Amino acid sequence: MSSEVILPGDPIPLDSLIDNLEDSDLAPVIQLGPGILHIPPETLLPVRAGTLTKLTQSKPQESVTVYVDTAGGRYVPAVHDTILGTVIGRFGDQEKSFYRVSIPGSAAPIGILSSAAFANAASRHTRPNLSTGATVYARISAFSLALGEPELECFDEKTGKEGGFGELKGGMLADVSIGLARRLLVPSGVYGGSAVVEVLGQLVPFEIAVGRNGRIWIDSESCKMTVAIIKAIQETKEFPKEQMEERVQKIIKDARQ
Amino acid sequence: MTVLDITRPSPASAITSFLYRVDGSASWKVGTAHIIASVSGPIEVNKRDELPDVATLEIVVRPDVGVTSTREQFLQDRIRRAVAPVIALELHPRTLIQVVVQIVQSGDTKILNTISLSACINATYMALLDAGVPLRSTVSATSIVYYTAATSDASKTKVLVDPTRAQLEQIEKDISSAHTIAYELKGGKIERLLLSDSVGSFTEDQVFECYDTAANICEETNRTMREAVTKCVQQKSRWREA
Repeated sequence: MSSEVILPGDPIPLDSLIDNLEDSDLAPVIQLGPGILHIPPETLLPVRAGTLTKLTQSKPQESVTVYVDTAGGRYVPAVHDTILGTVIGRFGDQEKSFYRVSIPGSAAPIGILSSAAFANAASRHTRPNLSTGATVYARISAFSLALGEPELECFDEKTGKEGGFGELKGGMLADVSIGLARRLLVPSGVYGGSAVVEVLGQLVPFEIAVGRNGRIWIDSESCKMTVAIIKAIQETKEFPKEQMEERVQKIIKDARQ
Repeated sequence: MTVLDITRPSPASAITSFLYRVDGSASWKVGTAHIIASVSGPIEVNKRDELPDVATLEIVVRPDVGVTSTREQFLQDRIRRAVAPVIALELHPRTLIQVVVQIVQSGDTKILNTISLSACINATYMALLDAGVPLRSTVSATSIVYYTAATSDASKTKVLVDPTRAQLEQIEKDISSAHTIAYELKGGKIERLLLSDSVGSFTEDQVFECYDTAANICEETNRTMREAVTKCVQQKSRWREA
């Protein structure tokens, strides 16, 4: 993985991407991630300031993924993203009702969650009854900036089961940057990101839900510990690994006293 | 072309990402001017301002003293002209990108707007960059003031670049023209002229001379911007180390 700071309009020579790949009979594949615009035929235009990140892959095919990594900015909904929202209202009749879910920190601030979009919601009687103010962990099932409100779902798309989605009871919500939220969602080995969750997990049992909209939900043995865990995650967001471990251990130790 | 006596600018300084309740922010200081810009967006847009294929760009300028007047309206209009062409507004249709520019210290005398205008453009651009709003290239602006120096020999035209307020006050009566110039830059190199706003009396040669001077200054300003952004990005990605 190589990285350099890039500004909008800076040139990205194609050769610099392809050179990373090993020779193969097949044509090299370049995948573009967020922050890079493709102007046909072969101009790559960075549209954000950040770290130009290149990830090479040899399976299933020699390919390189290139994107501009940024920590901040506003969350723009995308299909398959998991988000944390708050129920703010309900509309429709008994047969077909919908929840209006506020998605804080998002470019599209309100999502629509059908009461049928839950696991085991085939019958009206088994559908969950969410009250206003409930925190939900949901997935965006349909969205386009040109069309308006994102549509939400509360079940695992692969299995159709609950899969951790739905109402989150107890616990506490906290704000993080969308860059940190993204990191918390990947295994620590891949990207360095969720290392903090692993370190915390060895010190104290807790539950965490991460919304791509820059929200996290934490629940643990006590309110004091929950607050400490949130503090540990927020405070160490920019710390290199060793420094992070030290700080996290101290925060949790202090909370135990 | 006559050899001009150009006073080099005081170096500009920039800080980004220091406001927490907005998506992006920047502070820009040059000479005695100090501007803070903040960006929220893309956010939900008022139905009345909604555009079907592009994002709506709202620019609000708040004065350092007193209430909003025609001067702020003028600045808003010119800032829009300079930055709107580089924002990829079509990537966020039906949303709003809201820019608030707070003049902390205008750095201008009463009769001029040029210093605050160029500083506002730079601050706005930095804030847009910090907010992650999609941009096609970079923008830098500069102010150039021509005045006739009353020296012992015949009066001679002199040039000030991004002058301080004290400098301006000293020569206020001798100012012949003031120019605000914004360039679009790609990879640190001048790409095209975005804004050329002049007041006073000047010759055609002077305008072209201005463009050349501004091109150099803008490339320098662009380096300052790049340094500030690099510093900010590196600070935020310290977790990558080790």
